[in-house]
Amino acid sequence: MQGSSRLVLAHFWAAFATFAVAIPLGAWQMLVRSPLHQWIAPELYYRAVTAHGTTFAYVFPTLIAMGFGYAVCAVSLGRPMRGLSLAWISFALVIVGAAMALATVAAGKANVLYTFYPPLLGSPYYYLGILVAVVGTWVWIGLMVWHVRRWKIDHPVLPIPLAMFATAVGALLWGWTSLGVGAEIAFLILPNAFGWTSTIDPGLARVLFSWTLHAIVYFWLIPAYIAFYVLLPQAADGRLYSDKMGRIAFLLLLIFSMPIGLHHLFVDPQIGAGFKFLHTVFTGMVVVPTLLTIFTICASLEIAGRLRGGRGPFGWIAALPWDRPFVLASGFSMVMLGLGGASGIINMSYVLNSTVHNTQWVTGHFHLIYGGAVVIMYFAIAYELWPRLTGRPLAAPKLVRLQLWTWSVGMLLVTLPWHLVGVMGQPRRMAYYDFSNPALASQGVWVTVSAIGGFVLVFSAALFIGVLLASHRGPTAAISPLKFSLAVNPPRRLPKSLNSFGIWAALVLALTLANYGYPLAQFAFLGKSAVPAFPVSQNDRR
Amino acid sequence: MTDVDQPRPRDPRFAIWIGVTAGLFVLALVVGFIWLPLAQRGADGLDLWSAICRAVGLPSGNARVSAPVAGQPASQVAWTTETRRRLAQGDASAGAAIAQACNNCHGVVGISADAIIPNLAGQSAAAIYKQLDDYKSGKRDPAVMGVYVSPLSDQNLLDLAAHYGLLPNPTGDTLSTQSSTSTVARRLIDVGAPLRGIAPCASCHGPAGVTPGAPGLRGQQRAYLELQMQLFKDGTRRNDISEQMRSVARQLTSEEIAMLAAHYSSIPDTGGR
Repeated sequence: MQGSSRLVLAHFWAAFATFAVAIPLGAWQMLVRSPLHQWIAPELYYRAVTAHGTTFAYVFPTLIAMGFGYAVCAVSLGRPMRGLSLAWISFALVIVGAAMALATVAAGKANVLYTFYPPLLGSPYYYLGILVAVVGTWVWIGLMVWHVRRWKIDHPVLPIPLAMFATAVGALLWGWTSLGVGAEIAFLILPNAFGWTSTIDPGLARVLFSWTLHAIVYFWLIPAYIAFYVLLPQAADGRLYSDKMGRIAFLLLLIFSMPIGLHHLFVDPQIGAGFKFLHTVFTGMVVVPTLLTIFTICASLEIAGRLRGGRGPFGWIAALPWDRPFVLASGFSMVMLGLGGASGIINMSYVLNSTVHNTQWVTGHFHLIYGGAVVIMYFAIAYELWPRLTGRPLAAPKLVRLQLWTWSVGMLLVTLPWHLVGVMGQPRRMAYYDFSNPALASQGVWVTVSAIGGFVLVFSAALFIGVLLASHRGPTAAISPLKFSLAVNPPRRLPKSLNSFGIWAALVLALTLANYGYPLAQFAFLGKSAVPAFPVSQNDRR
Repeated sequence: MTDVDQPRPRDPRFAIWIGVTAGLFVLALVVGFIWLPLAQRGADGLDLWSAICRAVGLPSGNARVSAPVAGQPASQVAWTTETRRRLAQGDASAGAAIAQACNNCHGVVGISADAIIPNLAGQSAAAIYKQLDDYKSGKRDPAVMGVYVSPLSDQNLLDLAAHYGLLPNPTGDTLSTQSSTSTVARRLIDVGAPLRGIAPCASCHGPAGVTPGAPGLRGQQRAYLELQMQLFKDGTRRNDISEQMRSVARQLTSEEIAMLAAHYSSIPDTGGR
């Protein structure tokens, strides 16, 4: 892989190591608050939730996006990456930051959940760790953008390869959106955690966090979308239906996934209702690139199915090579994306949101989208890359299929009951529920089902790690190099709007100012909203 | 497709996309900041500027505000940052000296010998300060306490609060589930009674009767707790800001009040009472 194999492999293994720890934690949390287990001390529960959330929000997907970005950069631009030492420094920063944050959590000094909403306050080393990891990713952003620029200077009229175009979109998106949480930590939380300020403004902190909170999900999603566009059509023996549609979808994600974060603050009193409506409208726009993607990918699969002899309105679906891990994973991913997307549209509605706000419904929604639709594509990417990285074929194809099946079934078992009990009124972020209460008893059976689903996921995760480990040991073989799907009409030249970022980045800036300018600026003159922080670490509590 | 493949000096798509985005923005502004606030219930007579201010989240001059509430606030104490700051300035040793006058009734270590007189040891300093101030301002019936509190300065009250807040609560701070008592009390504490509009006691006072931000209840004198809930219930005592205790107590039966008082006074058993 143009000399980047070790770098890519390091990122993926680091990511999967954190994954292997955080998945059993998640299953344990579901077990201890289900009717199958006695209540435990809430402190322990929140400590585990913080570790699980911190890993899956800031560490695991970040490492995957970075590693996959390096792989795409080397393969799609067709030349070795430059600045490898910088890439290793960035990797080290992410690892050191993550280790610092997670060690603080493990010590019980930062039971603040991964959203760490002030005035809850944990140890400063937790926030510092996250900040170091985020700064590490900025080096990666710089490398991705620099490689695209350099390639464009050398090839002024050629289209940037779609995979690299999309990776650059992901990098730019993350760069801009990570500023919110970065500013929150650097200017509000750390000064308070170190004792330099006596109060903290929870409203301002929540607005800054919302700046990051929604777009970060699209940052997680982009590697999965890239895989849909550039790996799936080829894996199914077909071609990409439209290269340009892909570019439009990624640009729309860049433009619309950032200035919409206030939809996480629908019940927050510090935001005027007008701004909540404004963000709802733009949240609606973010559905568009997903619908474009579903259309394009289904069309590409239909091409593949018909090339393989499928006939009739649905015969092409049966003709697809479902035994191939990539196709199978993508099929599951589409199902979960459809279900999770539908619940997401309910969340973004100002009115419907009030019925599901802060219930298990929300937890079900983001686990289905991210833990289901996105993470299963991370598996597919790993299975696709592994032979190219190790020079050995993937071990045990049957186990690979079993792994993908169990992950999907497990995730549906976990999340569908959560949606249901959420509608029944079960609040999220609770350490225990009293199922002996007749009013809650009917939820017990569903909570039990989802706890069982959690252990199906643990089994699947173990299988996944096992297959990857075993694939390092097999005999070496000649492996075809990684290639990206061809479009039906590969673009020879592209208009500037589909082959550059400058003006779009300016539009993102303008939209951010328009949608976030006043909600942030109001704190300068509203005043009187800062409060003393509330330390939650075990030893600070009276 | 062929026209797209020709390089052009200027790309009209930028103008189209940016125009559509800007149009969407303007449309959302008109709907969200003008039309919706004017169409909402309670917007009769609202002018355009006030409608916009309302959507932005700013209170405005001629927005219709409900008529000023007659009467006085339930307490002179407000939980502002300034109050919290002053609470932190209480001097416990100075408070111990002042407390000489309190010891006769509330006990030398803040544990009273009479079930109708509350224990103060380990009570939250904020709660003690508020009650003292309410006695002083007459917001809580000063029949007994008024004579002791009226000569004290605000700093004296802060010192007393700091003193009693630091005295060890003999019941400790550990979570115990052994105590209970009636399932009725346990249910009211954990779940409340939604059909009667009773929020769970635990949502403010914590599952074990101790939590930051609310008066501690565990180990409190049984007769005192019962009397106070009755006073809230019949509206005699009215110094609860926002009427939260009156709203809850009004819905409780006398039997439930007795069970709750028994529950809180006996968790966990201190052995001495």
